[in-house]
Amino acid sequence: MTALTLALRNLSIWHPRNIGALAGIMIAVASLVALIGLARGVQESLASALVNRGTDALVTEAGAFDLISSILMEETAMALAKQPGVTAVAPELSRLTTLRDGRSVAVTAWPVGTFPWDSLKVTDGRLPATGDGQVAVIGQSLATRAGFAVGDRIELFHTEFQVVGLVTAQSVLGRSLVYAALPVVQELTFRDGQVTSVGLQLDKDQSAETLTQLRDGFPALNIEATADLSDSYFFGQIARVLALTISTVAMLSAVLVIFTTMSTAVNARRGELAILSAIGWPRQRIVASLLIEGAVLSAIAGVLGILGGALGAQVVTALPSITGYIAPVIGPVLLVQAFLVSMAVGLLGTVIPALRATARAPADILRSR
Amino acid sequence: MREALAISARGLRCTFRQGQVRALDGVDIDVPAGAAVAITGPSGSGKTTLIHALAGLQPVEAGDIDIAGGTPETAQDWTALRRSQIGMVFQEDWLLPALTAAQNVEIALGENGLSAAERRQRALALLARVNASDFADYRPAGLSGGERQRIAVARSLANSPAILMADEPTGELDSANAERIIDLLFGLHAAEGLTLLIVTHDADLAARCQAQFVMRDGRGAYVDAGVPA
Ligand SMILES: Nc1ncnc2c1ncn2[C@@H]1O[C@H](COP(=O)(O)OP(=O)(O)OP(=O)(O)O)[C@@H](O)[C@H]1O
Ligand SMILES: [Mg+2]
Repeated sequence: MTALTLALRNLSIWHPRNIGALAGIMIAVASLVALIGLARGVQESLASALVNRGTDALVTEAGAFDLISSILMEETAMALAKQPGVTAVAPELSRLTTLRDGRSVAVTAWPVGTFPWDSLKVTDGRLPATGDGQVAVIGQSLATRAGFAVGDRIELFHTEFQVVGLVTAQSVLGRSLVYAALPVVQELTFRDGQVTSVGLQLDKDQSAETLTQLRDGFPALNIEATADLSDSYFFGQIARVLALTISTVAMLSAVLVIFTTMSTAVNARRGELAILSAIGWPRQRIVASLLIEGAVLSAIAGVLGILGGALGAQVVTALPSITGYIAPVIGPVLLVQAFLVSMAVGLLGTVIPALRATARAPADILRSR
Repeated sequence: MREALAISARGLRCTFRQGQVRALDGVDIDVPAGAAVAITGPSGSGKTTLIHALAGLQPVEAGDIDIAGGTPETAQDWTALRRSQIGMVFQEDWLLPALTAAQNVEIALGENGLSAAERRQRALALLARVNASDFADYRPAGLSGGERQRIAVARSLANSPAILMADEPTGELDSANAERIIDLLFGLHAAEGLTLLIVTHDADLAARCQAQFVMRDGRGAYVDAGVPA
């Protein structure tokens, strides 16, 4: 009988020990996939909302803590529009407010007709028009969750608005916002003439030069290409640090779990290993057989863990408190990485206890149970 | 003419607990090829340690062992020897729970170029010799202690060893089952000239052997100096 057949026979009886090891590895891999996917989701939800709006660069107050606390004068937008290389500007005011049911929502406002409106796809009704007054357009996922339809009333900033349209956006965050015309929101939030940011569209051929010139010309402003934006804001940075920390912790705990489960499994079988040696199996064949068991076990656990993790992340993001703001980012690269981690760690977790167990004199173990 | 020796060991020394327990305290033993030797002695006298040392399962701190015509030194030498020349039976059967009786015998066959069918055939033939054909395809968990020990004996014979060492092979069996195992071992001894080394507390069994090697406090000697020259 070869090392391979012995390994497969040992696995085929589904000893509780095997199931324990399998579950341990599975949970570790699942949490790795889910946590990293979620952390990346947090990081990307902000950036993708902006990129998908067609914004090439975002202008905010230098040193602002986050997008909402930045304050700029609306005239700045006019000044920026005149700069060479800038093809369009969209002053934006973002505010948080509480709906009557206690749900808090973010309201984003642009002047009617500016380019970010073009990124919204109207699924019902229409976008706000000039002279509309207090009208709002609601992101599809928010509308579904909170039960809004065209023609309904919605209370924003203690003022009744009329819902004139439902929209979808490419980003998850975009589908959970409320949109309104800039002057209306400025007036209700006592921010006449003020905005939180200015979105820019740039001439593609010279966007790098344009950004450099703009930064020189407007030192009091923070001007970032949207692609890099999630890195330069506080929440983006937090998300990145979180993603990194969480992945490290998940990875370390995966390593530990796999190592201890495999160690326990191998130790529990020292008698079997000793008898194999007693009947003349060379050490490397015994170790090989254990490694095959570890590899098969961690491969199965890796696949199940990946499926569990992806599913778990979807379930978490469907929780009422965050649904619509974050979508887990679980790409093929993460899946392959998670599988490789589980294999590598499974083998490492097997080889060390296997070498240790087979280094002992068989007599120590065979003497008596 | 001097008889050929299956085993010749000199000055075997083996201690435990930082030298406090001298399990083997300078043991010399010669076992003629084809002999049946009983190793007896009080509990804790070093009998198990002796046969483990003679099979290379227990490293010794000092001493020389000539066995089956060679002087194994490395762990590889010893496993090769156990694969080809030495069969071992322990007090417990140590059958692998995941394998059937036949597979438990097959794993001892080594990788010696047999086809799967030939291996199975050989395993079944060995099981037939120990009267265990009926449960060839059972896993050990479903078998009695006597049945399991018979399979362990079949396993020890898988590679047609020249020397068979058994450590209280009937220690956990009732007298009827013990009898069958012992008859089997002596049958092989008589029919094939198998060298037998049996650790036992059983006086009757010891009496059936040609010589008795008595251990006491890590030292040992034949009862009557009759057997080895
Ligand atoms: N791994 C070990 N660690 C510590 N002490 C040991 C170890 N193995 C054996 N000993 C000690 O060595 C001595 C000899 O043990 P051994 O098992 O060889 O005796 P034995 O003659 O086979 O006894 P029994 O008839 O009870 O089986 C005993 O005192 C035992 O406690
Ligand atoms: Mg003993």
